[in-house]
Amino acid sequence: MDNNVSKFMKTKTKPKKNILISILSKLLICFILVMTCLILMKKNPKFKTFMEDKVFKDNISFAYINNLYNKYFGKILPSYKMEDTEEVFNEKLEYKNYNIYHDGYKLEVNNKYLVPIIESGIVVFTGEMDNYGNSVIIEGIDGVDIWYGNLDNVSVKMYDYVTKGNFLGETKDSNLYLVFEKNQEYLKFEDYIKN
Amino acid sequence: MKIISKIKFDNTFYLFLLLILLSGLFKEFTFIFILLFCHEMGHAIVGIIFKWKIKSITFYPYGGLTLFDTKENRSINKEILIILAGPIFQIITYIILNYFFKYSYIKTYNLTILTFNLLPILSLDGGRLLNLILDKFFTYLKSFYITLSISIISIILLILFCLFNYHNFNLFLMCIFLIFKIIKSLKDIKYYYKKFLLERYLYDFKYKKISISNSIYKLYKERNHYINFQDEKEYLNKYFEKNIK
Repeated sequence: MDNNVSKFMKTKTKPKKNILISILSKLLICFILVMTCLILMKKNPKFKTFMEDKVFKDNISFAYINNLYNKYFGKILPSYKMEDTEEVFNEKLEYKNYNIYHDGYKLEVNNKYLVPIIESGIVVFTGEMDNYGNSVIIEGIDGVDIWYGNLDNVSVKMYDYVTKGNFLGETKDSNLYLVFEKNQEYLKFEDYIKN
Repeated sequence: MKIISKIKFDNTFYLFLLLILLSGLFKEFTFIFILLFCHEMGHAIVGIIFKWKIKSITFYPYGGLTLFDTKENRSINKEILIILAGPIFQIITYIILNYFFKYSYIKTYNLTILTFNLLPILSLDGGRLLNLILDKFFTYLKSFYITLSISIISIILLILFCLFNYHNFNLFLMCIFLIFKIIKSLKDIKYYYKKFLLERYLYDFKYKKISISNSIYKLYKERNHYINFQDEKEYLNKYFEKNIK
């Protein structure tokens, strides 16, 4: 009788997990995956270019996925209203002239011009960039990254969701640099802004 | 430190985290998680003050669940205080967060989580609070069934609202989850009631109020009884001995 009870108890009680072993095994799996990827990259040039394009250069288009989810399933995080309406400060971008400048364009605007956001999306970079000065990159809901260069008094922060037409910042002098990028290709200015 | 070892995350929480990661709502989710965490800690800390044993603290995408390992004949007032502590702690953290961070969305998230949590649906704070208040005036089973019917009505209203006015897939999933919780509580109520009776048979509970009832299924919480002109203890002795044999 006692034997039966102890047998029953044995089947019921689970052995305690060793935390160190579980962490080590997970690390080992990650290590094996990374090593197999590296070996394949060395053996196969096609795989190497694929990995370079998809893993090293490309980034997840957060705003595009969020917009898609909102369109079909509704908002991810709780909120009262279906669509938030905010006060918009300026819809149109006003400029006198534009020229090609590095990968993008250089716009002649008024001195200390207040820059509006061209397309709503998520802020993925703020800081200094080569050739563009103090700049902001906003990943739009259509998947196009817009770089705003030569800015001062930037009002947005990293990973903020911003809406079209809101205030971004003011220009340092009478120049504004804009770059339109999608999948590592630079887009034409005319397709984007029509005045 | 003891509380932290009791914290668990539901599998749906990890799925939700993946969705957050893909859609880049890092900042927003951090604030929501801080609010939820402080809400659950409110329940847990007041529970510890009353020396209740914590069974587990589980986090779901839009809320948490703190379970205590206690007797079924627990004090109603203490439990009400424990339930109220959650929203109070959440409001305090909201005030602190609002002082340091100037984001307009913290307010909307705080308000939505609070109002949703205080809906009269079983397994949400509002439903449990309603059940406890009804326990003071009605019998154990009657108050449970009243709360159950109210929660069924309110969940139907919530689903209708979700279908016609506020198209949201996540809210719809939440409703389905809550329906499953309600069905589970309906299944479990007889076992909880047996536990309630057994505790009264095993231990001595002395209360100020005494009431008369004609059936064993019409007992009140926090009251002593005379069942069919017999003392409660005697009646329960007979009841359990009969059942054991």
